[in-house]
Amino acid sequence: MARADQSIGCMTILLSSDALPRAGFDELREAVQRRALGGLELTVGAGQAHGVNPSLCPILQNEHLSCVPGEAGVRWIQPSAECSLPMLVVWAGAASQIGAGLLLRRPEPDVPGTTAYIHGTDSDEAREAARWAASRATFTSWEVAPSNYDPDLLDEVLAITFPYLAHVRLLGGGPEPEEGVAGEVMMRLALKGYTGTIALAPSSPKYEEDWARWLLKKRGWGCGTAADKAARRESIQVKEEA
Amino acid sequence: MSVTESQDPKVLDVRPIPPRQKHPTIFATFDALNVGDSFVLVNDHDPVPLRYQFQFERPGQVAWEYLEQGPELWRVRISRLAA
Repeated sequence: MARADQSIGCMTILLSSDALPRAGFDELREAVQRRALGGLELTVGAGQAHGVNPSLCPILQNEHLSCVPGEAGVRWIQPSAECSLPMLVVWAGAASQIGAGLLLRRPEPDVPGTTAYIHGTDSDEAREAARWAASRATFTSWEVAPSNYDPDLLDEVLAITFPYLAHVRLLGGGPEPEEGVAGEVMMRLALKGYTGTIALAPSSPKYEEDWARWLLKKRGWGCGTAADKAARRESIQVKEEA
Repeated sequence: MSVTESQDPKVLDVRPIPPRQKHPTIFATFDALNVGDSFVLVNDHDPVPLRYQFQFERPGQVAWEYLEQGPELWRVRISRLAA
């Protein structure tokens, strides 16, 4: 079934393979489909269990990973920060063949195709990424994590990079503790009319079990009304105990 | 009007948001809208209780239009009718 968010330039939620590092590729696709997500952000070259590598023959790779509307296609490939330039070029070719983009941890002018340069919630990083994207006619990717989250900088960073922003790496949402950044970031992106992709990823490997349970076993993602009621009950209980 | 024909690109997908942050985020997004503006709420279940909460806490200010009703996703256009 073709989904509306894939047929128009509409905010699309992806799953990062970082959330299920022990999952094979089919299991990643299953998780995406269970949660009606728009596809995958695939981290490569970091010992993940999905086993996707650039030596797959192009035809097989295309069948394996391609972005078929309504299926769990790969939208972005994320090589590790240590990936060499020659390997980045190889991955760029693989990404291009399947209609995906390549996420870069450093500016590399010799990497062809659709790329997005990752920056954090930091004004200087955002300016550097925006300059890069403007000069290369390509994109930026904002990585928001509890560790680099500064609520005072959200609007500033978004204002700097928004014309180039194609992908957000949202670390710390979903099953992780309530202090996460997800609500503030999603609200700002919505009000800006963001139409790119957002990958859900863990903020730390210590949450691996929580993500696996949340993605592969739990039925719902959690109801705000039920959470409000639970919070009120806790509040009443605390007052009674006091 | 279907979602694919919409001219309004504001979309708030609350699935990545931890449950206790969901309603505050939705209300904060609504309160930031100008009168006449709207956003599309995306959720993994029918947000009926949220609708009642809007009717109670923002009486006369909200229009609620289902764009998609399951079984996997619910999309609701929430419009601000008055301040």
